Amino acid sequence: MALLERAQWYDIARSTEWAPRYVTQDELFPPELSGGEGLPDEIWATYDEPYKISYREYVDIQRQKDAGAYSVKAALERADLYNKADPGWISILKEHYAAVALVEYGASFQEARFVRWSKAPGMRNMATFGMLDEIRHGQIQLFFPHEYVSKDRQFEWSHAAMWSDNWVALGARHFFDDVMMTRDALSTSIFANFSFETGFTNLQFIGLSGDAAKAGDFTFSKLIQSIQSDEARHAQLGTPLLQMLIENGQKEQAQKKIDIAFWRSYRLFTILSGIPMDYYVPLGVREASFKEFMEEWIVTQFMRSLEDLGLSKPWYWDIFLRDISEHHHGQHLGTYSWRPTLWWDPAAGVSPEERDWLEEKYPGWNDTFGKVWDVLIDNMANGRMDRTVPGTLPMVCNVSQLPIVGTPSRTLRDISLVHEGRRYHFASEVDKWIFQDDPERYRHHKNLVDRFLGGDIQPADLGGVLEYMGLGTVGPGGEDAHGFAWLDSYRKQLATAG
Amino acid sequence: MTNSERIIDPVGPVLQSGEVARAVADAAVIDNAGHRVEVRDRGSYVRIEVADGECILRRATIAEELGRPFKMSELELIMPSFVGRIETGSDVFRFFHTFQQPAGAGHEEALS
Amino acid sequence: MALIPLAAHFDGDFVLKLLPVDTHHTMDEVAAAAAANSVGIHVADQPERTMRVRKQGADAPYERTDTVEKAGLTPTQCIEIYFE
Repeated sequence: MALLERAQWYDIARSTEWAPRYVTQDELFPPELSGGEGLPDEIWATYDEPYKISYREYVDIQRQKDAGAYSVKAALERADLYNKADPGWISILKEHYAAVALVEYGASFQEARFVRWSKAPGMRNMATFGMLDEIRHGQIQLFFPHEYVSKDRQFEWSHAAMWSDNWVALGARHFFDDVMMTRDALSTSIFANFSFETGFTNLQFIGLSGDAAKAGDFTFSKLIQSIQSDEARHAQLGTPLLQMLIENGQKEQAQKKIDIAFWRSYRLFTILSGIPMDYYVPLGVREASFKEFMEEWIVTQFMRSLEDLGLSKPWYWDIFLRDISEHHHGQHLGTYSWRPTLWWDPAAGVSPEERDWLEEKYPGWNDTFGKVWDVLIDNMANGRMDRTVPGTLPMVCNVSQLPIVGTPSRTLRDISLVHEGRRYHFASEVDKWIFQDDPERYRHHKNLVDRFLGGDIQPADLGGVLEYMGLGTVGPGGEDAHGFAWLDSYRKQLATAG
Repeated sequence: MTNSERIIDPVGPVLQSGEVARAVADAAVIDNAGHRVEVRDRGSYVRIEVADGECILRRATIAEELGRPFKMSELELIMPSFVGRIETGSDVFRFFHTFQQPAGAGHEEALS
Repeated sequence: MALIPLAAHFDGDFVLKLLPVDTHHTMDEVAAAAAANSVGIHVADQPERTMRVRKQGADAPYERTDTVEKAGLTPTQCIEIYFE
């Protein structure tokens, strides 16, 4: 085994630069695909990826990762988690797989574009491993939920959701198309690798893994940490690019890319991580609140990495710090109220004990969001189920594609503008800023309400909307995860009062 | 964390709890002598935090703590995240910040 | 008369809701239509009080007999409905 140390041959192996003679540099690396306009040509060869790995090491390590995850799954398959776990936990699995698996496959295209279009040879080399990583994530997160399909047809959404026009899928696709699929290689790396992967995926893939282990789902816990160990490596692709921009007078452009990607990622994760962490994870196994996980992974860890590069907090930092205590509570009320539009069964998470927890983690919750739940619970405890699902659609943000929510009587308001004769609505000042910064990018897209009003959805009623979104055809829609069993304590209160 | 003094400018790996994580934590204490090292247990993962913006991990030290041969690339198997920038050699991993955070500064305003 | 969609913000609700109304509807009729989507669903009823409608951010409400047309509301503009 007289192999050379990696460091002794690595620089030669990744040096794949050459001077094209039959095409121009811009034909080889078209600016709209490669990015980095204004950076000096000689800079690309200096790109030095911080996290290095050889192909030999990669294959060895990835084989071990897969062996670890698959063997845990195989060992626990007979443990019958599906029937033994809390139904709220099963809902987390349904939401996660459908929102994530095919997106991972998309991410392999993102990395493949780096392999071809990045002007930095070191990045092309490392992105090859990133591409393989993401193929693994797509495959493994389709394979793992497959064992549940025969038990519960909502798991079909794991594969189908991203092909549908379900509103959550519309939001996720709009986000990933924006940050991952439709920008030049340099910008995409800052949007997706740096902002999304080193920042937000930690929340879901590490934060939730602790809850998973405590909930007895060691398979999922192992799986998502295994995936994140790939992310921790290839997410490093963006850091040298940021340094290059900053050192060449493009700090403002770098900051703006982060500011856009950070907000868009955050808002998506209010649905993906925020709701499950604070409402679906069984109370007894909650490691921390969504806000606490945000403070650990984003407010502290991610912001420190920004600061270390000489960059600043996003301009909307104050808005963001307020928002992490409220936005996902509104989105939970929305998803629960319009539960027939979901591909999973939402857990209400508002039993008296859970409300105490929410009040402790989010002081004032009972006086704001809790007041809305009082009305919902009163209807449900009294059997007025027809009053618990609204008969109209929510207004939807033209950037995030999520319902426009806010703290009742405090922060809920419409933020809109008219652009070339069309009125656009936004769920925050930041979403509006993102639109205004590049209206050409966003103006043509129609959100669910635009499609409804424009006649794309027929019949133009809730039944038509459900069918348009694939509910009942792709797979069944949502109902209370616990079959309303949590209402018992409220019914007892009613009986005592009566 | 029971220690009342906040650790200054911590960097280091976030590791899946288990045997290797414990060995890395012990190795971190040895390889970063003179710097405060905290191990924060977060259930399924641990944060190994070395103060003052630099954390060195040596293959030989980890192997000694583990009592078996160890390749640095194996660390990736249990490392879903890390704090700081990274340098990845065959014998040493280094986590570091280039910009020294002033004592007492940071993002604690949201944590109070 | 013509159908026009508005964005309804019923005070106490957590979400803006799509509200199709007719241009000849009075503000009392608009308030009743908005209430059907919010009151007793997400907002507690206050039967002894009158519902009023105002443009988002306006100090004063529209007259209760004003029509949507007279108010000059355009598609998906946001109105606030509240108990007086």
